[in-house]
Amino acid sequence: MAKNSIDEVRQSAALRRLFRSFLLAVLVYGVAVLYFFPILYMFLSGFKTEAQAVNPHIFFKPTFSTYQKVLGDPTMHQYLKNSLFQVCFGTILCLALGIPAAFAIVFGRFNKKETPGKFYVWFITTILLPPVAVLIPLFTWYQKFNLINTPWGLLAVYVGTHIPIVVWMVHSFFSDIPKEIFEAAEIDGCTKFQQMLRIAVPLARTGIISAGLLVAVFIWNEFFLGFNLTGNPTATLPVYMARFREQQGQFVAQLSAASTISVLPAVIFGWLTQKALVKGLVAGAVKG
Amino acid sequence: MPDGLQFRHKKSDYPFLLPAVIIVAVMTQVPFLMTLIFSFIRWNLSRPDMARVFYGLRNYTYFLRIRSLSELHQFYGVFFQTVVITLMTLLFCSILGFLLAILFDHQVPGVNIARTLILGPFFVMSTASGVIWKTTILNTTFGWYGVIAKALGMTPVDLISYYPKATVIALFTWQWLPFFFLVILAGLQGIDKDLVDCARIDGANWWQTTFKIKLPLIVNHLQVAIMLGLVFVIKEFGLILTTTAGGPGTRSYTLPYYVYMEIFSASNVGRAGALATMTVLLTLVLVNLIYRSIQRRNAQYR
Amino acid sequence: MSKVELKNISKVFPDGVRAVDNVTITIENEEFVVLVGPSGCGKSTTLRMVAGLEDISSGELLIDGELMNYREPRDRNIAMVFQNYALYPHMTVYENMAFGLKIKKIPMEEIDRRVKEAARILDIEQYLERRPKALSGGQRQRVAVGRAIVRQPKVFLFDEPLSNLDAKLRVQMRAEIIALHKRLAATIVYVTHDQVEAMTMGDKIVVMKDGLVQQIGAPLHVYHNPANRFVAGFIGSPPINFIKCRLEDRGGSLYAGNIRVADGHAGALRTAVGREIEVGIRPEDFTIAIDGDSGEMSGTVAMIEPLGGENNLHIDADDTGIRFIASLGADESGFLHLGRKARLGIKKNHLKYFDAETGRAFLTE
Repeated sequence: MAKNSIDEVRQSAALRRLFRSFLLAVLVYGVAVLYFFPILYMFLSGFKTEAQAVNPHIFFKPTFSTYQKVLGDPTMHQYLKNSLFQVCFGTILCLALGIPAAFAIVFGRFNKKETPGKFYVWFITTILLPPVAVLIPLFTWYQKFNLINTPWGLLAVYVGTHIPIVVWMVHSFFSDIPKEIFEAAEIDGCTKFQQMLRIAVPLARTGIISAGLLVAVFIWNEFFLGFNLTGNPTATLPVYMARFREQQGQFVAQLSAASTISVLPAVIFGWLTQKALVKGLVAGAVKG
Repeated sequence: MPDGLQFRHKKSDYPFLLPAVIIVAVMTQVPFLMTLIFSFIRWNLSRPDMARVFYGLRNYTYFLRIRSLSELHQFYGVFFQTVVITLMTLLFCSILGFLLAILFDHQVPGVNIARTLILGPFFVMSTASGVIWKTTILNTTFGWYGVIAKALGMTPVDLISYYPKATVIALFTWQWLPFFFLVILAGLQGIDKDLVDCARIDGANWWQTTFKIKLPLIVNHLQVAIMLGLVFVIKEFGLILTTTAGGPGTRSYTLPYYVYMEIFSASNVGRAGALATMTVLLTLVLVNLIYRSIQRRNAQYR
Repeated sequence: MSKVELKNISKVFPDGVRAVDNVTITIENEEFVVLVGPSGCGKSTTLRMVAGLEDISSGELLIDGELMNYREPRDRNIAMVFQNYALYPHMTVYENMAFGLKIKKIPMEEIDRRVKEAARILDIEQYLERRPKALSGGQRQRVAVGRAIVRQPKVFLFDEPLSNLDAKLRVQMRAEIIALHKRLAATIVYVTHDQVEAMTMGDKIVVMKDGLVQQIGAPLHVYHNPANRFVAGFIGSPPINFIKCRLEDRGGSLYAGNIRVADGHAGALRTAVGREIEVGIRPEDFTIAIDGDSGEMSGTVAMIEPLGGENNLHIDADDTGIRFIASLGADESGFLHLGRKARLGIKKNHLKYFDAETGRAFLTE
């Protein structure tokens, strides 16, 4: 008798649990898909013709013509090229300048012990500065020196505003490396520069890659400065996207295809950085 | 580091630091100082005939002066809107981010994919999310919102013009919630599993475990998310430009948008400088408030 | 009254791993039972099933005759002390201890009384307003115990509570928990991987390996009469020595290799004549051979661990080459220097014999 009843209880408990995890899964995926829906729908609408895109449907006969058209558009090429230019050179320069700075802050020797800490805080505070606070003088200087509407002018600001992010993230990854390694290397006759290049950089490889990806995403997405410091031939993709703002309900397919192309690389790169993002930006701050 | 080593090498490692410091200083600190200087100068780009002269605090008083309480300068409105939009965004991000993180902290098959989907909007450029929401979701005739509202027998109102602030807050939240989610989730996953088990044995129900055990344990993470979120949300510009364009009128202006309008529409460099300076001040004040509360908390824990 | 019965309890994890296999243990009222075994043996999982933190895949768990399988942990009237203390870092010591009581909606005066009482017993009264971060490991351990005490549970569960403490503190806390057990007259289930803890604390120990119970019994009984080779090797430090050999009948007397089996053991072993067996010799069961006659083993001293009162000698046996450990009084073994030949006798009545194939002990009581 007892045996039967416990088996029954066991079965109903198992069923209840199964039902609960099913409900949970439905909720989790429901929320996730709903949250992601605007991006998903944008991606799908790119496969529509303009006529199909007027009405919101998820099921339709897909066509590649819109993507083909957008990708074949020379204007699009121009924007894409400008964005790629900024991202490639911007990221490389940020890393090239930011990594040594982070290295010096973590492992460097200075006359005073508190010097590296002060520089670290200084880098972080520059992140607080909203771009509006730097735009006006840059705008007037650039006009004076004919840098407005040039890729180099924009690149300079991007490097200046994104180095602190590299320093911040790479700093936290460098901090995990035991100092003794460098002391050992020094005894082996390694110069400071070699220590950075041969030891610190390879050991913090994943963090550095993530920092690079994140900066790439930030530069790729940056709008305010790009919008105000560039003109037609040099504008980047976010500026291009902003041009669609006045087209109420027109060219939805084209808009979707264009935004998918502009958004997808950033989202994919961003996904790759998520772990490092938490560690790099949060870990140090949480500890206080 | 042993002191002996330190003394043997007199030379310091500034060469590693200086290139970065110089570039960052030239592109951020120097322009900011210039902005500060501009804010004390009368300088209107559209009036080259007027000489640039020291203008004292008049660029500030232009916005701040109170002639009569019924007729406040629109600056006050914009300032208030900026604070409301920013704080409401952070509030929603915190609450929803926490609840979402609690939900996604469960072990569901393939939960990582679901988490990744939530993260998506964070990496979407603001102008693209603006136009996408505006045309494919919020549009009253062609967007999902319009179509669903009609299907339910309601007349869709144009949210962008009727509730511009709420719309902006909602879209900011959509973009920034993933960041909060990511940070809070990391916090939740860092909680010692034994603590949760212990709470179960102590008899805590879901509500008590979530709000009396888990929430206090991730408050630090939440505060960091709020601080970083604040820094970035208060700068946000592209989403406003592409959705409400600050409108109708100035009802969804924020300070960065106001600065933009002041320099590119009114061409008034001096006044734009004053506005930009006040934006920085607002950021610093808010960041400082949050930072202090973090410090206070940390002190408590020790 | 609180008696805990585990009847044929098994735990199969979703990935198919059978962590606990058909475990049956009865824990009497006011008994101190220690589950001991190497890591991964299923002892913690068993404890967590008793606590209600893991589901029981099959079998029955009874507390005072009531079926507990599907009760929530809070309805089982148990308290648990975790390995890393699991103190709520955001609460003071007082709040930590009061949390469970507040949830049960016990009146504030009663909570206060119980917390103060527990704090007095554990000598942590002066820390009540501190947060766990401000406490040392030993103090945190006390708070964790105090949190369990105030709940006045039927059963206390301890999950390796001392393994994060340093050696000295561990000995001290061990004594305190034993004293507490006496004082509270509590039923305790205690999990540890440390066989010394098991030997010194338990009224009864349950030796586990690979999810299976190997032996249940009083510590000394288990020590002297291990049920199998594993238990013999696990309990005792320095570990027991095993000698693999064939059991032979030489003119009516049984010999395991060169060792003559004690007459008292011969009856039980007679069935195994001709088979491969393993002889277990505890290090302290060696003696210095006074004359040639009583010498059963000889070998070269390869290493000496002087412990003060006694020496642990690592000796390479002459005949088999196996290294064994003998624990001998410092005075009598003082002459045995490194590299010297040693001739040792064996207390034959203390020897253990195991089937080389199954590991099962031949002698059982």
